[in-house]
Amino acid sequence: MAKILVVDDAAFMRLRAVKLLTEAGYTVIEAENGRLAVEVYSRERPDAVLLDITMPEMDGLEALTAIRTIDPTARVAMLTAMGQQSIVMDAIKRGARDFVIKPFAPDRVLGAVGKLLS
Amino acid sequence: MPLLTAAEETALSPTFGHGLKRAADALAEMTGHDIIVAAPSVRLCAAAEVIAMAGGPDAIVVGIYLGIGGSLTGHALLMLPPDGAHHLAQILTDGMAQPDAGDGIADPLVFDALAISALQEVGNVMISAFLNELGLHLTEPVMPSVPQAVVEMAGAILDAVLVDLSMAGDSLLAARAAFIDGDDSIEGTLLVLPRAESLGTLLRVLGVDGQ
Amino acid sequence: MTSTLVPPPQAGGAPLLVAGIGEMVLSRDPKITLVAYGLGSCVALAAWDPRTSVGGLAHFMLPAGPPGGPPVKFIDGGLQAFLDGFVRQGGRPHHAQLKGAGGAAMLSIVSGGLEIGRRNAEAVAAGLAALGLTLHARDFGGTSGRTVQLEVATGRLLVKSVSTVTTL
Repeated sequence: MAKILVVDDAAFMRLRAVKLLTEAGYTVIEAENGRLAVEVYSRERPDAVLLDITMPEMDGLEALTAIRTIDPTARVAMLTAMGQQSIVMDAIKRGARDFVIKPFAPDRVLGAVGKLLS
Repeated sequence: MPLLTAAEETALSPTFGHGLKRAADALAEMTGHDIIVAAPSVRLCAAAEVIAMAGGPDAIVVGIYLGIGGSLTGHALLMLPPDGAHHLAQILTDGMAQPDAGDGIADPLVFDALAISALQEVGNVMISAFLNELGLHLTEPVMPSVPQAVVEMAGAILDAVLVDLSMAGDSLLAARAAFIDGDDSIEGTLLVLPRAESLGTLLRVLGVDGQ
Repeated sequence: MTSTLVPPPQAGGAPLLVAGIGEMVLSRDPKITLVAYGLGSCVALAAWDPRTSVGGLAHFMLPAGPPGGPPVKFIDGGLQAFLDGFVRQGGRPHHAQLKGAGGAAMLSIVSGGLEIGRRNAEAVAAGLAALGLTLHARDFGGTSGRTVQLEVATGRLLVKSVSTVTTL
């Protein structure tokens, strides 16, 4: 049973992602900002991470770098409304393996998670 | 001294107009409904007119505020009438947001945490879509802040924003559109108010030299 | 000075003179109510002379700034302009009830947004003190917007927020 960490400051988004992933058979854990995401990652070592960018305390790009420093094999996909080219490039350079832009279709997220785990 | 020349105002209009359309598309995706963009405008206004665009100074609205930073700076505000905001939150949360205490009588001005989160996310997604469109013209990114939702008089919400913008003068550039959910007749207003000094970047890229 | 006379909202309601952002309104007419709507970080100063029944309401935006533009946008020049206008109408500042409301902090994300309201309230109090005047009542701060209404006939000042109405 693969464990997925969902990181988003919006409780609404976390709820939707948790529901979607749980129904697909995954175990899901959550964090509401980048700082907590890094803490939860190092404690729980999930199999994959869905990471928002715009968050308080520590944004997703910083959290991505921190997580990849703890674990260079960390499998992270960005899940964000921010879709500008320079931001996508930045995330890829920092080690994100996929980039899903909100609003997302459920299939797109499940596909991204599937790819991360393969 | 005018904030922008007529040529500059004209040059910015299509770009901001496309941004408003992208914001509408994002809302349509989130709700699964058809969204109509009504009365889009991009022009210089006085503070009092911006307040009127928001529904008037004492209109009670659900306002979702986001700051804009990076290569373009300024402010964005999505405003919804309280009953429309409740309805939108219900659609987004599949009825899970609970506005009333169970006695069937809902205070239209009270929103539970899930409803607020859903509405803030609508603001986040719509403004990000707007900024992503502007970002097509910019090499450095332009980013929204985290959103903040308040249920307040429109004039009161706009005060801090207008204070920030009116340091540069008494006219502001306002990009504004109404968004109508065709399926449910929810009408909201999106206001994007860039800071004067950051418009130079965009104007240069669009090929209009500042004066 | 600019003012907007609007028809009464319902039959028998008092006609209103609205002080928009950066504006002041003054009247001796007992039928009139002076209003400043939707004060966030902005501050309203109400003045009412009980003997001459002259009322004034100023809608200030910022503590200080360059001249030109709306007459009471900035408190440093606007306070004197307001009091001068009040005197011209027949009001006596040193015998008037002076009351202030507004100066809230609503949006934490706007940079400086939490400070402006407080600075405006302090500027009004300090500006009045420099003229030997004090506020008899004040309703400053908090996180709620306010609408203030001054009845010229009685000097009664109503402060309305989204959830409450109080008399100041």
